[in-house]
Amino acid sequence: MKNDFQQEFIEEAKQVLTNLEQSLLQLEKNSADPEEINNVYRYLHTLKGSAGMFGFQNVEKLAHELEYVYSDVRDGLRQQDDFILDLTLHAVDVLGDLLDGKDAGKEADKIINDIGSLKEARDLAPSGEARGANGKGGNEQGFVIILKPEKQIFKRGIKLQAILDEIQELGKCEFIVHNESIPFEKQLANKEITSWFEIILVTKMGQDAVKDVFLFMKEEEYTVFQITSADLFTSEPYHQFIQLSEKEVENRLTHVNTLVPGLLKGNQPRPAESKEAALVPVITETDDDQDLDKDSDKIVRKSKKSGHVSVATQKLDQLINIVSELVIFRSEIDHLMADVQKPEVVEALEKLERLTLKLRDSAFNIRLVPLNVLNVKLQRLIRSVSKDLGKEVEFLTDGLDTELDRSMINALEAPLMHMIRNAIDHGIEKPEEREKRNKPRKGLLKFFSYNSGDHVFIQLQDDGNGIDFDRIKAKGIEKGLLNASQVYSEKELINLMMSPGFSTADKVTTVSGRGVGMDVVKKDITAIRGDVEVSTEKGLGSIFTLRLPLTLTILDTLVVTISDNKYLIPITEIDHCYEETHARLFSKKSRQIHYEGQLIPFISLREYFGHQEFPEKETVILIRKNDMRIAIVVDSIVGKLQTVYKPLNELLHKADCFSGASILGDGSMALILNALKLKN
Amino acid sequence: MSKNIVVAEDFNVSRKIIVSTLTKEGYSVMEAADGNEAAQLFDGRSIDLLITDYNMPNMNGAELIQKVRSLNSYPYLPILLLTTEVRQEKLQLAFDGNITACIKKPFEAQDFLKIVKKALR
Repeated sequence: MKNDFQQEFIEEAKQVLTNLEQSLLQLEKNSADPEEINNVYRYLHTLKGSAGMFGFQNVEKLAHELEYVYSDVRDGLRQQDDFILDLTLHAVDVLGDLLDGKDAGKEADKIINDIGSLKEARDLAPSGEARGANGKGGNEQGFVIILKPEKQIFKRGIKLQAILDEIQELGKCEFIVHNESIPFEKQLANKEITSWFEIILVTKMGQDAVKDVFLFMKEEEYTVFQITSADLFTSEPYHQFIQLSEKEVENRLTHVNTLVPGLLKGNQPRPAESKEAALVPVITETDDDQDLDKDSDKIVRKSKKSGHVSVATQKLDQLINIVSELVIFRSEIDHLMADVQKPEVVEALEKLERLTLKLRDSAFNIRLVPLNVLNVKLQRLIRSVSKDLGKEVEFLTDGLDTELDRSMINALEAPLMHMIRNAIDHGIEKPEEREKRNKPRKGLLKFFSYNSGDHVFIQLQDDGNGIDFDRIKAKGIEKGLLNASQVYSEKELINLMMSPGFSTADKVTTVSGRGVGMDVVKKDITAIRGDVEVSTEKGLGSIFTLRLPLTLTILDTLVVTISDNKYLIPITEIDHCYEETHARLFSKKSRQIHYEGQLIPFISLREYFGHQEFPEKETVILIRKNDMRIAIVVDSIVGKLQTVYKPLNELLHKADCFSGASILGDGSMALILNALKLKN
Repeated sequence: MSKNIVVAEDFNVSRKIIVSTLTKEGYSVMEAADGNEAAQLFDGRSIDLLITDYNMPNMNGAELIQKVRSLNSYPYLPILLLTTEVRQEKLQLAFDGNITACIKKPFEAQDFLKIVKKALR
């Protein structure tokens, strides 16, 4: 069961994951960028913290392990290499799955295991210095703690006894109490401390755990030394606290030796010159912790700055549905009131129309999402595909702030991914080959997007090999789709490439040629009422352009009649309309009309639908879509109508001269004509 | 016996989160939306820890701490002061010798619980 807090957390955590992924991809370009390394660390830290708070223990654990790796990287104890990067990127996916409640525990354990072996490798490495966060399994380390509590420490609500207890819980220890003019027990009872302590502690818990004990203590109240040699007790920093006689030093060394025989490996006090080297003072201040908090604070502020509210898509869909119904209902009222001449009513109806349109536009705006949400996924894909294929790719983007309907973005993901795969697999050449052709080793892949009129354009450019028309032709002939003796234009070959089941990959690679080619892209894009355009230059590269409608569900249409039936034609496709007598239209056998100096073929819908009779006067509608022109002849135009687009049921998919259906103002249904398909 | 904690914080959401974090750990928590409300909870009953915000209406954190320290029943009560990072150093100085620790907001639950646990020892 997920409560609201949890849902909110999941959404926020996903955002953190996306940021994390982005930073990792940046790191791949420049593995030493300290800022990105710090970002990665910070995101992991944030994730770990909040996951624990909301009961995602598995997320917390994995993030914690990764954080460990990156804290090493950040502190310069470890180089980030491809292994770590791959591991972390994989972990990002697993973390996403865990957040979704998928059963990814095994994968998570595997990653944790891998990190474990990383840790071991480093701990064994001779250069690896002793580290604090060794955890319970770590080696025993010796520490000397100088504890000089304030006299009034109890007034701060700190129980000294508890602190001493805590030290004892860490491992084996020996207390040396100084200034015991008043018995310590009595000091405790009086809540006034005058003594101070030397504490020799041997623990497996590591430095961090030792420092944690003094969380509430002031910096000047305690100092922790790590015992690395017997010289510690005679070193300069130690002298600042206490000058020990030879006998006292020996006494302490005995303590150490009793606690852990062999820790000092029988070291005897050595000559004075090595004294400084023997000392590893563990200074208490933790500057980086503060920085960390500052940074996490920054994240919170950043996300709040733009004042976003995240809403479940379900709620949005519901809103859109209601608005869509309202649009239809308004047309219905218009229809019912068509005969009413009363000016007040007409005015009110007009107001209603304006408001409905405004409401519709605002509602749709809410659903718009910038293309940027796909960016990380695309980058990830480019990374893995170019790596698999041994190609080098530079990915440039522009206009990713272009907004599209959420459902469009979802529908675009697969075709875009496929186009990118294709571009890297078939377009961009291997680095060696590029060098031979005097191109930079790195292939260039540009992805950009812009708004124009009612449409959004997305372009994908590569500077690769261009489309190999000879191969397409050969393949076409092989498949029996083309005639070997005939000459085909590039346009025809491109159309062929995008027709179903056509794939030119010579071998089936893991990347493309899995039976899906540009034909599938074309199908997917057509399904969201978009178009694909291809231009290419052999040896120089290709440009794929997607033209997409802004929204999916609302359509401005022209209502036309044929016999007693009504059909809809999207207004964006209509170029021109005029009336013509049946006799004149059908006088020429060629079935073409003359328009703007062009001969354009026409199709009579009456004829197309099998009617035998024709009215005397008919209406010609000129359609222009994708640079193709066609005219259709209908009985008459009824009017303009804003409709809600409903896709057709699977059963009707074969009737592709209709792209969808809609409900008219009077509640009856009309089919939306797909004029280009009429041609065939 | 579960430990009794007083949480004084005027910002509802923050207080709710703190309280739920603590309750989940089995602490018994008394809430107060300002210093005044909090001060009235210190009526001699057993209280093991005070967690208070600095900026609050009616009686701010500083006044509350002073008030609690002046009572005879709670001389050595651990007090955790919630601060924002900007003010932290200043406050730490101002309350030197009077409070157990400052907790910087925002904080993470596990860090927070660690501090609370430590203060309650």
